[in-house]
Amino acid sequence: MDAVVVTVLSLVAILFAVAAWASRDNFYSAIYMSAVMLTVGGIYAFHGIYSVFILIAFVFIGAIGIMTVALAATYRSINPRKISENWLVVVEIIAIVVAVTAGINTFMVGNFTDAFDKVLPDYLTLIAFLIVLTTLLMLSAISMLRRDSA
Amino acid sequence: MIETAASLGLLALGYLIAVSAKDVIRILIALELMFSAVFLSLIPFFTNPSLVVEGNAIAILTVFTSAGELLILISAIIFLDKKFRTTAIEITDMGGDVL
Repeated sequence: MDAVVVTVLSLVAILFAVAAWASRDNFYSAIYMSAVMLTVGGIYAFHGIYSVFILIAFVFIGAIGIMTVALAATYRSINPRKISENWLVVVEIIAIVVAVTAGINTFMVGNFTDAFDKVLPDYLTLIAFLIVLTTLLMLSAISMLRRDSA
Repeated sequence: MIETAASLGLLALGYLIAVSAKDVIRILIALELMFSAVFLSLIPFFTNPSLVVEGNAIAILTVFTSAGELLILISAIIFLDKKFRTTAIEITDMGGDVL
């Protein structure tokens, strides 16, 4: 049952990634990309690794994903796409062979466990990471404001 | 097993989006897909009791460093548009600022 759920989630992620590539509108492409992230987070949640799921959900989907969707909605260009179909077929076959080989040879030992409390016994490091990210964001905003006022 | 295969599939699709991109927004989307592939590839760590702590530490560092990198890229895209009034990928081939 577990394998079926993970397989379905993985297939949904790949399908959304293909849709992100096939869509010519940046906005829809960003929406599909966010859906891929949701399914990746869903796989973590399904395995019971809630700490990583929360990090992906809050930092990646909640902050970066939303900003990407907003940016794509602002610069919503329709992209003409020129790519050789022959090369595409060759690359896809190689990617499938490599993915199946890696999947078969991946070594998984036992049940899934989460050790977030052993890595970060208190939340100080996590708060420091968040402060660094916020400072980075603020530095960019200040830089933009200074350029505007100059 | 399935997660690793899906991870490689997502990575290949991320590369495909990056090489067929016509504007930098697509590059951003491609990078985020590649980081999703990285997160999926970390899952086998969490099955080995002797590597779970390392897996958690790598996951935390990966989430924050990749988020910082993407934030810088988002700022760079906004600056690029303010300076050149376009986000077309040809602009990025022209080199840096003239000092």
